[in-house]
Amino acid sequence: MQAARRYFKSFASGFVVAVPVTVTFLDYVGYVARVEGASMQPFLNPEDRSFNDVVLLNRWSVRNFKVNRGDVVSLASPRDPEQRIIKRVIALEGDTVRHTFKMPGTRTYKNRYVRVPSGHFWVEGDNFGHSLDSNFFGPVSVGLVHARASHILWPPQRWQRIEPSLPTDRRPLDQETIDHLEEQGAVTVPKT
Amino acid sequence: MQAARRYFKSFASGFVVAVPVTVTFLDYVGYVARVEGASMQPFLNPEDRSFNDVVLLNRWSVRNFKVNRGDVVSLASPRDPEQRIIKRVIALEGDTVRTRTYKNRYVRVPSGHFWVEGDNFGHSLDSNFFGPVSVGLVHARASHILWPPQRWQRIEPSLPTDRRPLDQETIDHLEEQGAVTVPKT
Repeated sequence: MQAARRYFKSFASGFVVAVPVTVTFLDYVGYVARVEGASMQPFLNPEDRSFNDVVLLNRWSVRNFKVNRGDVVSLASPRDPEQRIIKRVIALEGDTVRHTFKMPGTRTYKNRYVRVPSGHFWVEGDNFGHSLDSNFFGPVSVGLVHARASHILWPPQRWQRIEPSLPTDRRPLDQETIDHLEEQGAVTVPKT
Repeated sequence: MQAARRYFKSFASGFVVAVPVTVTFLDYVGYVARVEGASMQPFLNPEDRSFNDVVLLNRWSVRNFKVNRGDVVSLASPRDPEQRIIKRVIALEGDTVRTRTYKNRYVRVPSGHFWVEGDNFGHSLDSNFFGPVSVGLVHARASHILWPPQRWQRIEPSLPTDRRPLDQETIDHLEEQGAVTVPKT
């Protein structure tokens, strides 16, 4: 009887301690998550697979909100804070980014140039036309970033470390082009 | 020797366990913080005091990002995510705000956003400067002033009389005139 009670007490305290230890680990180190949706195709959830990718989300690497161009990050959606979205970082504060948007009611796309305000960044899904991203909601507060996707863990054939990488057509504009655009008054500086 | 080692081991495990337990408490329940600056005067840090107010920040109440008009909240600044600012919630998504010094006079707050202001008009960097703010930046609700003791109080949601929501008739009228700006998000 005594031994059983002691066992139960040890078990219960172990169990209770495991909760804050686990929570702290998930919040400060990282965890694993399944990617939903097609906005990051073909990099994540490519169409020929029937399973969704599972990625490792590194919380520690974004604890100071330091992200790099080309990183794949998870963030709270600016449209709904309870929804998490996964996108690629295209531009950081101070950058001039080409914003591609569709003229309403048509199939034509137009370009304009936006200066990313301080405390913000510009994110896009790799799957152009199938992603709700900065092209729709503009620069996003960096404070919404949640984690950096560091690895694809599943399926095993797609196991890889995720390196920061920008699509060739989304590289930063060179300074000459930026100066030229500014002279033309073509760069929009959103107020924040 | 044996007793000392056992004591040390118990102490060490207690110490190590305390870290995640405390961190989880601070992150999910709340903690105490000193208010810096004058942007919420006269409600917080009124000028006649030499000490800064200390408030209780309730993290649990914002875990689902549900805030109310009139709440005093702490949030990450849209201009610098590492900086925490404390402001009053003036309007929620879908509301129409009559702004004070913003580039547009009337703004429809987009979904997923809210409008915050410091009580000290003219001495606050808030939505009047940076526009509607993503609700995802909210960190905690200030539930009590804890210090100094004379100012101990529960903080109730309350809007200044000149910052109340516009009535529907006024909003309809403004919309007819095309005076309401709907930021794209």
